[in-house]
Amino acid sequence: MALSENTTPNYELRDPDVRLMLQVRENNAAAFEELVLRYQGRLITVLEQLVQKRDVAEDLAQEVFLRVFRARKSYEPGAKFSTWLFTIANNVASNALRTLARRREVNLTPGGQQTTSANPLDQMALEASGLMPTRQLDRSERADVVRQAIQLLSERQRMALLLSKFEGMSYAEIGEAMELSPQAVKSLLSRARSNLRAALEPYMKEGVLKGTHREEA
Amino acid sequence: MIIGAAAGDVPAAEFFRHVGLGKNSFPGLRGPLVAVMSETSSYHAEDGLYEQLVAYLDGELDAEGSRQIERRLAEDADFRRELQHLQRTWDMLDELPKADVQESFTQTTVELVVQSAAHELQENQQHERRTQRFTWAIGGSGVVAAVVASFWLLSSYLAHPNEQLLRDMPVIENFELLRVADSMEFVYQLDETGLFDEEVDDAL
Repeated sequence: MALSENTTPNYELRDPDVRLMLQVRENNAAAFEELVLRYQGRLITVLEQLVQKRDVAEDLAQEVFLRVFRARKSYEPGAKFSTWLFTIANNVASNALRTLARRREVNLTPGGQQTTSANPLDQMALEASGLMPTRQLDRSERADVVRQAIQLLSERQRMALLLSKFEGMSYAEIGEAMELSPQAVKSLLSRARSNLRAALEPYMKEGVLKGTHREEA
Repeated sequence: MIIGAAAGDVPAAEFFRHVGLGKNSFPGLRGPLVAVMSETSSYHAEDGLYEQLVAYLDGELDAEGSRQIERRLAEDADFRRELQHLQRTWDMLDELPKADVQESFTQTTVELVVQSAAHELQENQQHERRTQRFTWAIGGSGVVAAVVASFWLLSSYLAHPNEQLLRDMPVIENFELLRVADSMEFVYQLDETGLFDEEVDDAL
């Protein structure tokens, strides 16, 4: 993206992480380590929600940091550092998800699909429609429900939602990270939140589930 | 639009198809999902209203856009309920645990980068060496060629320094005779008869 001369110094002044990255550009290893420390948790949180596997998320996060380092010489502060980092993360995650999807296609055997009861969201939905006594969902169960609901979103909806929720990015920043216009992000997030609301609605009323046979299943 | 303008089962089917689920996937979810979709679809039908509502929650609307949404919220109880549902769903995302990263991850990542940097440095050095070698090879070849050419020219000159003088010897020796010749053409004709050959051979 072409940068006006006015925007470059602004990011440098406003964003301390941009200043760190400029030090990384000058081969400052300590600055790089500081950036890793600042962003590793945030990056892994988002990537884990995208790929659903912690070890894969960590591998991808390392790949992202490696790309950041390799790109240091050509780095120009044209955006907030986090936006630039998550642009790379978006590309890395998209590639990984494509690869995972291909692998899943290869491994899929006829009749080898998961049973519906193995899916927590599905299981809880079944429970919700049953006649069992209600009980309060515990935190990990609620997290499971949310995680499964997020998986119902498309990859792009998920990414936009996670960047909005966990990174507090504006539509313009998400657009930059995902190479979309702000208007497209607006539509994408609207659909994402509508779908999420639809998926979670039955489970968020009073935070209860009917039945207690989750452990039995 | 995944959840389209029309109410009912069709938009829900699109949603299921979009997320890669067949008709029989998530049977327990399907009923409530369709119900909620039908409930929200009326707002999707209104030109961009749902998008505006979400943008309002995200703080992305300008003053005029916000005023319009707030007016609608004040008038429409269902719209208010929709906003509350969206907000509660949004808050549920806080249930997702934040990644707790171990120190070893940082260490491994930095080590990985150090390795990469070392590799990069090695590659750069190799490239530099290759470039240097190439430059030296080109320069060296040029110098050698120049030396060989000079040597050849010099040696050929040094080997026969008096060649021209010797070649002219018959003329010099017969200078007095040639002076009386009428024309150079006559002298060339004499040369062609081989008159001076023996003398040239002797001189060389």
